[in-house]
Amino acid sequence: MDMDFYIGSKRTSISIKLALVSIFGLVQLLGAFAQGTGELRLNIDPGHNFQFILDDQFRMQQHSVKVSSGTHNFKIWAPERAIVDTNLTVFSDSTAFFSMELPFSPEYVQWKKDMSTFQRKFTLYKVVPSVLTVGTGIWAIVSAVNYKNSSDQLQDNRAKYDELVVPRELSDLKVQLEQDKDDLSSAETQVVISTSVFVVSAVATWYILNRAKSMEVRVFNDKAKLEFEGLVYDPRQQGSFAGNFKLKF
Amino acid sequence: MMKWVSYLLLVLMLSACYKDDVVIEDLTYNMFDPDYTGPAFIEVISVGLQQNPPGVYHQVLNIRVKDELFPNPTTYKLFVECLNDTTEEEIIQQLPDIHEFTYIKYDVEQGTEYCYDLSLRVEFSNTRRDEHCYTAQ
Repeated sequence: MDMDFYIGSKRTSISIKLALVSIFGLVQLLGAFAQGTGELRLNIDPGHNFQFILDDQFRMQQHSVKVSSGTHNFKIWAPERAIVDTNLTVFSDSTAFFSMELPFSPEYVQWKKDMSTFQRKFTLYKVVPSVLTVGTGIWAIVSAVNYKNSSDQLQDNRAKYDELVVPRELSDLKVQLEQDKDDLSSAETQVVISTSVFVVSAVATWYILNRAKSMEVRVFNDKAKLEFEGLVYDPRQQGSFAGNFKLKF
Repeated sequence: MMKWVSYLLLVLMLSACYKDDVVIEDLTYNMFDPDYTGPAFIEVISVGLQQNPPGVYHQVLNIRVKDELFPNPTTYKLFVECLNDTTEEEIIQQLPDIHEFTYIKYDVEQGTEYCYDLSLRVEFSNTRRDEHCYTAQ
């Protein structure tokens, strides 16, 4: 069926079927432009430094995002964590919430184990000998001070013998002098032992520390970060200009 | 670190130079020491015999303590024990500076020897005892 109408004085004829098809197409086109948007709020642990890539195109670091209604792909990552790849559906004119705790990456778990082993070795190689040497050094100093005090006490009591005028006190003083001599002897023995132990531990510590110089802390290599950053090119990393884009061929 | 260790060792070696040069067996020269081995510091100046009343005799000892041997000035008592009958007597100084004493052994038998242990008593303890024996005549 045809329909006739005039444009100016010129008569034009258009088929009704063609008109209906055109109107339907126009409605579809308008519908496409009028697609609704929704908000997605992300509650991710760790909350301070996670990032995500939306639909393999946009790398973002924020806690909420407004997207067109429908299903979107999110790749979520945070330092030391594994990348979580998930699809989330957002409805038009609504706010959706998504919560999750990002799992630690296997490399990070392994690195933590290695660090724990390293810490034990570090303690064994560096801290223990050093503490031992300092401890034996303090022991040697305390022994030397004690030795000096014992010597002083013996000499002081020895001097008292020349001044005392009470027989009982003189007898007691001789007993005390015997004790002082024993104390001095044991203090001398302690000085010899503590100094020897100190020298041995100092030499051992020096040797161990020299050997331990080769020990280095292994830095954590976050492979998940490299993988995540490689998913989308981010020119901000180069310091040139802002914006995200992805080349598709 | 080795520098620090060296300093510490030096200090320890220097501190280890103390010597025990005290020989207790040699400490016998203080006259107040009961183990004193020096010369006598109590001397009997004179010994006499008194008769009072007639027929009753007393032995009189004049004693001097050599205070010049004292390491420090002190007050003391003269302690006399008669070994014949184990009687003891403490004689107090008349004045701190007086070091001469008179001891009287009453009612002695004429011709009998009497022995005495003489020592000084300071704060309830005695010096070395020196024995002196005299015949009552």
